[in-house]
Amino acid sequence: MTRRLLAVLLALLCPACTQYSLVGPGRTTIEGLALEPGIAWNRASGMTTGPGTETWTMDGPLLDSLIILAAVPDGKPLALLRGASIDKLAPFRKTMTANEVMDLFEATFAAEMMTTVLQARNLRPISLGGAEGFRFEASYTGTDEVESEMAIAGAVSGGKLYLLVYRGTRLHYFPKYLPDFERIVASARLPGA
Amino acid sequence: MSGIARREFLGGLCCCSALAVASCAPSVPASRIEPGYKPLLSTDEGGLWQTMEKEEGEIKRSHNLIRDAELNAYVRDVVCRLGDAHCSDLRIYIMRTPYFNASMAPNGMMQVWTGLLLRTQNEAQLAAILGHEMGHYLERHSLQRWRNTRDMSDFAAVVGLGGIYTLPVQMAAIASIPAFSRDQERRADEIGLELMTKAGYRPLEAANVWAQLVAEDEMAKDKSPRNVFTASHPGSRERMTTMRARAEAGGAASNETFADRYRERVSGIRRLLLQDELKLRQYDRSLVVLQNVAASQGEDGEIAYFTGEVYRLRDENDDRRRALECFDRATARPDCPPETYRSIGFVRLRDGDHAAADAAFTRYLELKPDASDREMVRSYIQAGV
Repeated sequence: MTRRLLAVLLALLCPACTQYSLVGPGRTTIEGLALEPGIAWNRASGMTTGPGTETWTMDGPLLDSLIILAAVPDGKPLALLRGASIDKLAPFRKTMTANEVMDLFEATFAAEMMTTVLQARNLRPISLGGAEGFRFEASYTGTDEVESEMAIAGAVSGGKLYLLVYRGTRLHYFPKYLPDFERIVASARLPGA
Repeated sequence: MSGIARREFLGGLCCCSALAVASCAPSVPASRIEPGYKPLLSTDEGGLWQTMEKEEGEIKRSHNLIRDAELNAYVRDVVCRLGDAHCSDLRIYIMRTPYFNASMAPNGMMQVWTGLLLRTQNEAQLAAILGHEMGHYLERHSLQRWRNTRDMSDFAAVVGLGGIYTLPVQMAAIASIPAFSRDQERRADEIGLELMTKAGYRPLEAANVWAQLVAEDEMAKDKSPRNVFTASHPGSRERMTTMRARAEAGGAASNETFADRYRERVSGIRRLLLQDELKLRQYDRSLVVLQNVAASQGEDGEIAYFTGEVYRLRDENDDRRRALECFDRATARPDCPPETYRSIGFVRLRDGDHAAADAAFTRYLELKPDASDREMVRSYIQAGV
């Protein structure tokens, strides 16, 4: 657990280990998932693992972040943070319902952030990028006792999971960039959908 | 130091019972702490107390703190039964952390993790663990750990890495501290047994706690330790054997476990404990835990539902059939959680039985019309999948 703790800490706190490049405004594509942010975000390298996984931020990943998981295949876990012990996380299954994906997200995020005080809610159907998708919100308190809010949109298309996870501190940062997250969700186009 | 790191750092200064280790080098005298004892502020022990008091202030504000007044009063009562004279020196904090552990800081701050409350099956078992913690406290086992830790941290500072880069070095230094001696752990076990016996609990329950942990460990596919400090300590099996021998050698003792009282007082948060356990996705361990709860408390609708959930989520071999069997037992009981029907729907969907899935989802919505996910569940029915 010490090793995992260090890895999570390094992922979150080690700015010198992370390089940033601008993404947007305008269309960008990740593993076939097309998105169109309305403002320029900072794409952080090294925050997450695997292809099709990106982390964007405006004011720094501790304050706000947009985690994009594109085309997660059957049998792979959700790589939300670089520090996660991937082999110990439960995998995504292409037969999962939206409820089951939400439960998987909740368990994965709780494990990676080492918090239990995480509550997902308001799961509802939406159309995402031409596919039947889902949307839910979540709140959690990290080990630093900072309260954060999350908005999550996703869909399973072609047997692969697409997930957009926007997170920010409850005070100030979450509401600050929520409108652009909504724009990104509305702009999403899934491959083949 | 960040909040998370400081908590781990300071947590390491607490003597922890089950999986973490705590002990001291022999330089600290083993004289028992006097009731009302407070060290002089000018001493290093006084400084340690001050540091822990600051940490305690943060714990009081923690979102992980279980504030259920009745449960807190109950755990405090158990502690006070064990250490009557020291009762007013101790503060107990129940932390929402789904692992088996308790810890005791040198200033009398005791933390009890919720994973422990799920895994101890009666008050006597809880008393065995809390008594062990009090053993560390009474003989001031934390002090030498603090001195060792401080020395290692000084080493980290000497390395000269400033800012956040000091953190990994400090963490590595702390993790590298040699394990507390097995003698110290055994001593705490002895004191715990002495206290629980004196307080009128069945001493054999101290061995039964370890037997349950051994069973859990043996079932687990993931054998990695689940605590921050994983240095060697007397293993669960050794502890189980030793505690059983000691309990049996102790002669006449109470046979009281106070199982009914324990079940009643913990029942208010049991669902939360089970939900948190499920989030860990450690299916094999969870099945053992649920079997233990069912064995000691009887299987009710809630336990049958959560057992079914473990099988549904694991979904290996004939797990779906097992899940449905559990859900059937749950729905036969008046205390069946409405979510059982939703889970039946998920299993039926995966089996391709859409009519049965629709019926189950419909029943879920009837029982829980205000469910937060009602729109989504309704969409499964409308989709006719």
